[in-house]
Amino acid sequence: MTFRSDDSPDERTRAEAALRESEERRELALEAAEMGTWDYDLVGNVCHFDERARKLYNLSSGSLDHRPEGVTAVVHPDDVGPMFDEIRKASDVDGDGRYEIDYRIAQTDGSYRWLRAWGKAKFEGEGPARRAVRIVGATRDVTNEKTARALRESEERLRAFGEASQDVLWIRDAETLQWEYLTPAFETIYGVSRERALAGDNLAQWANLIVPEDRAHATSQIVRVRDGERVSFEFRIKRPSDGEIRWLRDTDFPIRDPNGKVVGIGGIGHDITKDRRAADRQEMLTAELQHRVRNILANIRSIIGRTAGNGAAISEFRDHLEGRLAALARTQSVLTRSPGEGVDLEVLVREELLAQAADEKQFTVSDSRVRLASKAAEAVTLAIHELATNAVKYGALVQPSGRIDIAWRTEPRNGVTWLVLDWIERGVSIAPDRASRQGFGTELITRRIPYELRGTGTMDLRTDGLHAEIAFPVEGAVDSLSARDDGKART
Amino acid sequence: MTSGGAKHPEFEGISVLVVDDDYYQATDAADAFAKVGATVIGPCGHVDQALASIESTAIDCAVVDLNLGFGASFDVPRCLKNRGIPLLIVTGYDESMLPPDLKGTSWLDKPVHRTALVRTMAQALRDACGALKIEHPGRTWSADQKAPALRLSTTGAQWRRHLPSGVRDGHNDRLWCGWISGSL
Repeated sequence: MTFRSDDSPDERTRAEAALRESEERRELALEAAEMGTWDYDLVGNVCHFDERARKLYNLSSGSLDHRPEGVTAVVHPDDVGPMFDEIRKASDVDGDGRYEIDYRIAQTDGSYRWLRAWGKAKFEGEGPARRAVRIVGATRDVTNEKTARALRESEERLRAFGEASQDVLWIRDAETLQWEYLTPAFETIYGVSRERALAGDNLAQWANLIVPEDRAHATSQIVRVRDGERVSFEFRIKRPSDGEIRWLRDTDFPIRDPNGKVVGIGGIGHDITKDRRAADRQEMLTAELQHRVRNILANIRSIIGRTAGNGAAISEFRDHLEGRLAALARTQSVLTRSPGEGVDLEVLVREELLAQAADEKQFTVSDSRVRLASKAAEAVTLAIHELATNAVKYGALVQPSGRIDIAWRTEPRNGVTWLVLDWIERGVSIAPDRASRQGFGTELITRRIPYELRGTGTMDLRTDGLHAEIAFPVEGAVDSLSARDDGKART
Repeated sequence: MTSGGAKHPEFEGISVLVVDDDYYQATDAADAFAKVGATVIGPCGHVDQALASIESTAIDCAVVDLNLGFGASFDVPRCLKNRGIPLLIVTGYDESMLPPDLKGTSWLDKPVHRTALVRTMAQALRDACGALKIEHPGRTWSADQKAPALRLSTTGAQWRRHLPSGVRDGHNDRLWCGWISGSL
């Protein structure tokens, strides 16, 4: 808008009034938008700031014009370079002249505030002489938007961590002790949906999931955190979905406001069920190992006493003892080779016979597959050992015409499956003094087997050789999965 | 087998339940107690047999293994303890294995010598008698530790011979049984 000298006074007054009104409107709008304006004279290299802009840029209010050095002094060092880049870009005659930048401006207290400036360059001249002469624009404080956004982003990041975590993360209000935040891992660990967990008095509901023995301790820990302590404690829950007991370790901490008052309780719940089970199993294995070692020692003591009991010569005592300990050792090594799987009866019998250097032409062994649990395996190994030792000394294995058939079968007795093992010697001429012998082997078969395996054991010395029968219920003594009922012996 | 010859007159007429799943150890223990004059009940190698014996027989004390073939089991010691029958645990497990309600029970590690077995069982019997304090409205009666071993039994019948007449009055055997175990 230009004024011409020949305008009439009325027109001039009207035009001046319109201009005032327009400027007033612009001023009100800029004030409402909290924007300061500036005008950067590129030719004179000086920048003019209005009152609000000077406040925004923290510039002395005495002078309206500022050299660029004065401006760069208040801009954050990292933002100075980008500012000049933006000025160059806006001044580019081939560009659109737009200027827009966010930068940090130093405040009197040493802090920085974020400002966003928008501007437009004005060009003069034509062709090669064309150049930008000024950039005019406005600036606004965007610190709040910036921090709000940063906060939102950081919150979203944390939420993403929370959603992905296999631990339950939660926050309770310190006043009401109610959950304000609970991550989805809760559903996996506790077996209760988040909606249900958050409904009603959710502190009481959570406490109800804890097994009664651990409940009071767990809830008291929450109170300790409210009083400002950090705590870590372990407790068990019973999942309502499947009744499973799970172990949790909670690490809880107070969340404070800037004045130090506890306003929230934060917690991380880690499922330690697997660790606990592994530790329990380890403890159980150690206890069982200790039990086994001591029991074997007690067994050896008993075997020594019984081996010495018949008043035999020391050399015979040593031979018997060594043989029995070797049989005991063989059972142990087979049992520990595949713990929990039991011992294959055929392997057990063959190993005992071969340990006595028995000639394979003199015996047959059933090939029906049966696996014995440790307790039965131990007793049966020793029984076969005694039978084989006797056969080598007095029976079928010392006489050329002697034969042994070792056969077993499973059969029902009173509704329970029994294993029946027969040791049948043939072609043996019996020495006259043999019938009276009541040794270790006889006690083992006729007393120990009935006692330990709730079975029966007989030793019958017939005219052509010994016939021993060992029978016991297989439940607990044989792994039922592998015990087949075919009972066919290879003869 | 000569070591069990020490005289233990307190076992005369006392019944000892022997529980161990190992035949040799069970029969060795039974033999040790028989030699000192005790009446051996069992031996029992299985939990159900042991529980049935406790139920059906007057038992004064018991020696019990914790593992009866299927890992540690506390059914038998608990049953004995609930009935106030003195017991001695003989096992290959470590003592830390005991659950809280059985802590303090007499204990021997395997392998155990028969002399130690008999001596420890006798001590457990004496301890049980010494700890016994029977209270009745109007009078209090404590067992004298120097008195001959009290006859402990599940029926309570043998107890009554040692109780003052005023205490015995007005109670039948069944009531005695519950009352005595409650005050042990």
